[in-house]
Amino acid sequence: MYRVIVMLLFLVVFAGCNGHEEEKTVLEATPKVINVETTVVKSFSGQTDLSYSGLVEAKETTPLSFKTPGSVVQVLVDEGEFVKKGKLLATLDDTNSKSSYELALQSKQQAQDAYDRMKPMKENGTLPEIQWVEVETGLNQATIVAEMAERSIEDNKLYAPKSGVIGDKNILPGVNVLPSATAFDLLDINSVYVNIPVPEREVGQLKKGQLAEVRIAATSQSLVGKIDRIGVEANAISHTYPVKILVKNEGWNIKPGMVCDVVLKTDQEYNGMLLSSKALQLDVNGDQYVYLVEGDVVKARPVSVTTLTKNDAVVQGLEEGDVVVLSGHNKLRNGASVNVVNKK
Amino acid sequence: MSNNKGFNIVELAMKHKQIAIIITAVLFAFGIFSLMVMPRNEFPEFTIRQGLVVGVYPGATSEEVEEQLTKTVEEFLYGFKEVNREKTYSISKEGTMIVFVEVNNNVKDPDAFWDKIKFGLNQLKAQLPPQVLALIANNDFGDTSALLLTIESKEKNKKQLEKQLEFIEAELRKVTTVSKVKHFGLQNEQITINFDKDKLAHYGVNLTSVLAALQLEGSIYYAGEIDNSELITPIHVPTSFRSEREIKSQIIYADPLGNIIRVRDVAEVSRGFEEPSSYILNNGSSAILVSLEMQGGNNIVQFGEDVELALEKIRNNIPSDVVINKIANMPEAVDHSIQHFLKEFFIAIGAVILVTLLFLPFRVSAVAGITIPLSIFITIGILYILGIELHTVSLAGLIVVLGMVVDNAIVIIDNYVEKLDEGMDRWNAAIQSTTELFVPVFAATLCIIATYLPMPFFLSGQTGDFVSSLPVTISIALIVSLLIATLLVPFMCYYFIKEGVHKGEEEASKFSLLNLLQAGYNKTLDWAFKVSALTIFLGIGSIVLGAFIMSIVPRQLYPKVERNQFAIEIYLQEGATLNQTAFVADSLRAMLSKDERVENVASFIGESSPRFHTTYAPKFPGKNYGQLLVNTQTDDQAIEILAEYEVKYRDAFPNAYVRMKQLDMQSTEAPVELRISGDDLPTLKAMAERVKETMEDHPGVIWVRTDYTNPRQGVRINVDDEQANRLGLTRGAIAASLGAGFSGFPVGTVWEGNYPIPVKVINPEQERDDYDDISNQTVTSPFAATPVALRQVATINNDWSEGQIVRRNGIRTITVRADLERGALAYKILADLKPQINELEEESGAGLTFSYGGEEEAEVENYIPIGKALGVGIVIIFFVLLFEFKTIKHTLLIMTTMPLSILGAALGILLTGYAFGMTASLGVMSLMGIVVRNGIILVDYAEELRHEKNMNVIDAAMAAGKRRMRPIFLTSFAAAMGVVPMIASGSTLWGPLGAVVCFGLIVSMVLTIYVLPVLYSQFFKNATI
Repeated sequence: MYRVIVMLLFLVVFAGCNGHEEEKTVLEATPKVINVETTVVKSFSGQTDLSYSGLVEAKETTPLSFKTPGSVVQVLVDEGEFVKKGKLLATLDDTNSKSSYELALQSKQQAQDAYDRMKPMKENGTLPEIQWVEVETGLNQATIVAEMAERSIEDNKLYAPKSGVIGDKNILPGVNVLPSATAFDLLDINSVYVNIPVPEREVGQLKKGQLAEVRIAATSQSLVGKIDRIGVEANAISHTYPVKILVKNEGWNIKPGMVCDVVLKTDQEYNGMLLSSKALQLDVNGDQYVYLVEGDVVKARPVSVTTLTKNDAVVQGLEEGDVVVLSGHNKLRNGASVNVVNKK
Repeated sequence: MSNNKGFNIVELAMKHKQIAIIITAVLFAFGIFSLMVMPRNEFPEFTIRQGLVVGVYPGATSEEVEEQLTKTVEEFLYGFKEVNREKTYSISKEGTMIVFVEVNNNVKDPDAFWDKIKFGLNQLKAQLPPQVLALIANNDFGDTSALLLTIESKEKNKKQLEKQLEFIEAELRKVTTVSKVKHFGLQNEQITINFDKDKLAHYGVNLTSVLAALQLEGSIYYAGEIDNSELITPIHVPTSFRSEREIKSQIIYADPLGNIIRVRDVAEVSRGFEEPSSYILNNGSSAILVSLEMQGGNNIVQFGEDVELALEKIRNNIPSDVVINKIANMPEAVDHSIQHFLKEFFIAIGAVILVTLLFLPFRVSAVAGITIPLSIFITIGILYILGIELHTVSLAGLIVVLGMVVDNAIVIIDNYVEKLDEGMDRWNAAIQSTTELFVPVFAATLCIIATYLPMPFFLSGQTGDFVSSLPVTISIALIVSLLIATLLVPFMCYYFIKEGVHKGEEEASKFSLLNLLQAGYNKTLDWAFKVSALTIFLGIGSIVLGAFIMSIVPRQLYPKVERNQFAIEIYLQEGATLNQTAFVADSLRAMLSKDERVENVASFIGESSPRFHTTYAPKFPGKNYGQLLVNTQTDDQAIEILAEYEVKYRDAFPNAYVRMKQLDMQSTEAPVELRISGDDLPTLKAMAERVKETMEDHPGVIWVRTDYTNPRQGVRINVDDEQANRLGLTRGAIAASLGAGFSGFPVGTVWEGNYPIPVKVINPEQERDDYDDISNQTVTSPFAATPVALRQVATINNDWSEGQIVRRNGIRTITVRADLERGALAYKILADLKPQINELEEESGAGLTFSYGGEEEAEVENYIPIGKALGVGIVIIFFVLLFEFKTIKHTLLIMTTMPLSILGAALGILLTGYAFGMTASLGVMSLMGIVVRNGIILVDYAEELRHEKNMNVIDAAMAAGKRRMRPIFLTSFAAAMGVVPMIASGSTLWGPLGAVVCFGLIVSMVLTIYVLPVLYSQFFKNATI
């Protein structure tokens, strides 16, 4: 009876053991293939963009002023007004000038009269030569004085020396002006300058004539300009060099003082491969690498990063067209088999 | 012997039967009442002895956090003797330090300790770099939510929902048993100011001064009060920001010429919801989560009902499109499991009574049977008074003792019947049968209690909490049953059993089953005595076989939790964005929602759910982490889905690992864990990598990761200090400008009634989303003459920092964690891996220390104390027996019954197919106590025969065997039947206990009744009578 029990027990034990062996064989079966996302490496010979914030300036600004001192009577234009060459802009009080002219005319008549009287005498030789010269000179002088007085009436008027836009206006009727004081700024805005401050480390990369993209937020315009002038003296405070970009201003939408974005392509090239920084990994020794997909398996490939641009890193150590693992690194190791589920 | 005293009491109890009956009746009634009102729980409350110390150090890399913050904090913490150094570990990562502080198990009042820590941390902060923003301790980490509710609406946005939330929370707080109400997943509105950096630059306005101006305007300041001798009136200067319009017209620059610049001239001001760093979805639609905790010591089932009532009221008062769902429902789970267990418990009582009815005459079994409910309910009443909750552990304790409870009565009744047969009168028979047996029954009871008594002294931590109620429950039940057996049973015998059962041979047919067994036994026992050497050899053989089987049965300390709920954890690589996490989470959610077995899916993107199961600790928030909380219709479906989806989806997403997490009684993060400690980071990481690859190569391993995670890629700003300084810029100013531009700078709050709207200055989105924007960021400082672009003073490149640095016990420690195939056993896979890991360890030399965590550590931590407790229990049993039997020979003889139970226990595990775990080892302990009783009863009788009836050794042994077979068989069988419902329920937690006790009892009973008499005869062969 006991033997039967013992036998039964042994049978049970054996059955148990067999069961376990079966479990193990099931476990052996699956080789691991790991799903990954990949991306193809693009070559990048990059000029990196430099962007600046610029300020629109007029190309030329002519300060206009009266020739004579005086009191302003009339101002005929306003700030921002376009004027053609020769347009009257403002006048000074000309009563004094006119009076001076009248006075001069009177003197001239007097001299003319003297001249007219003396002339027959000269002709018949009764007048001594010295006296004649005196009369003749007197007339000439009076004529010149009269002409001068006449012209100085004109000086009370300020005309536009060329076409342009009135920038600043510093006079109002009634104001007394001196010839040195600027009455108006006449701006030339057929083309404008965009002034950008360029840090010293970048200024060397810029060349005259280089193209620049200018985006003006106020008018939502995007224009192309050229570098016209590169300053030679740095701003003492910000250590930047003023660089002027000439931009055509058709339609005169761009107004001096507007703030704009300027993007310049530099000559400094980063040659390398463009790769999302997500693909980069770091090994235990502190070296960066990526997983290169070769057939069905991945190989670790060391890379170095030159710089970061936009959303990507510029890397060295890869070739164009290389397929690189973008995500799924955590489950990979060198030589692992992969299944690419998503190519970007 | 305490015979005299016992005699007196027994007789006294019989004389004053009314007192005994009334006391019993009252206690019984109280027991029934207690059963209804007792606090219920699924498991005893585990004290989570872990708390957090969190430090925030923005801008510091993992290494810097470790060096400058973590080390100092660790030094401070390790100065406290309450801190368990081995289990305290810290995580240093980008800008954050988290120390998981484990408080020693012997600390009685962890709250007081935490107060001390909090105070100390405040002082410590002065020693830390000033950039450390916060250093706080959090010991609520272990709080478990009883209920998780989601609030969602198709029509309302988060702000409108928040209004509803306030009402809902207020109503819920009215439920008296609610302790903490917390909400998660709110999304605030905010006002963003995007300065146009070009305009700022050309207006020549310094952003720093603008920020300062804005900030001042956004705050409340004290302006004094005026006392005009009639009234004292405080002076108020209200904040100017009442709306975004006022922010727009805020003047940020003015000069004497009257030129002014307003915010709107140089910035866009807009209002919207802030970009969340994490959010919660329920079934794919945006939701707010409310977590409810219950005040300890209450009936959680009742709590659930109270909350449900409150919710009904709430539902009537909120707009109909606002839907409230329960996504984690502890009251229901507890109710479910307790109801289930109670059912098993009553079936067990029934089964035991049935066994007695089957084998004993009706009246005898009626008396024995009635003692069961009496003892059990009185015990429950006493447990209630002692404040012990009704949970599966205490119920399991009661089920295990059911058999023993009835034993005491059966043994006494049996003796009484025999006395009647011998012709004694009923009164004296009742008294004598009890007094005679009092000592052996008392000793046997003591033995069982002895096995449990040392437990609280050796077990600590989670297991300690788990088993803490067992010794009390079992001791009380046994003592109560002993009292009933000695004080009430004699009277009941006297009253109900008026005649003996053995009238003569002709009666045999009436009790055929038992008599048949008796006859069979008598015959086989004769054979056993004939081949006594073989019998003993078989006994020894059974021990060896038992030990062998024990060594091959699967082990698992705690089984998984069977609940209609599971979690899915989603891990993305470091630096992954919230959208990437959300994509994976949402794809999974969509697939699960299509499965008709799934009832509800709550998604936590960028964070994890509050702790809803004691041992499932929430993960720290991170944008590369997500969690789904899935509810299925039935418990089994949860397991089905886990198995199905695990294989299908764990690696389906290239950028994520999807981890299926079945709730677990164990708090280890992974079943297999190897900790490598050392100081040199590259060596550590290289070794961890090799260990990881070794583990990955094992077919049973599905996912291996280290807690150092992957290195984190960053952008390094290489500042040209000379340039920067010349322009009045410092690294701090550069960092501050970048921080304000890319992450925003808070400048104040607009209060819209009681709804605060933070105001933040930040770059417009298109100016903070690629690397070029960093170069072009305008940097400025109060000392800088003019703002300049960052690239004027710095170049950028990428750099790397450690994902996180974990230190354990103050030493850098990498933990390599491996998840295993469903159903694989950790210790087996670890056994396969160990040779290779040992090789690696040897290679590494002295620099690195290896130690195992995971289940291995848990086993060591649990089984060794259990072994110790069992050892001490055995020593106590030894002394109890020594006191009773006076000689070492008898004592050892009785104790041979213990090893004889091993085979049964082992067979129980083997045949039922459970894994040997914590509860199985409790079963073994119980078994040791119970089987000793069989030995006592047998040897005690043999001794009596030998000394009082002057039988020779062999006759006495045989007679004792034959005579005592019946009670031994009955008691063992009854006890074994009591636990059958436990096995039948298929519970992986309690099934093993049932299997061990049931099979152990039966097999050991069979072995004992043959081997022990033979051994007795051999032991005392040469003894003089």
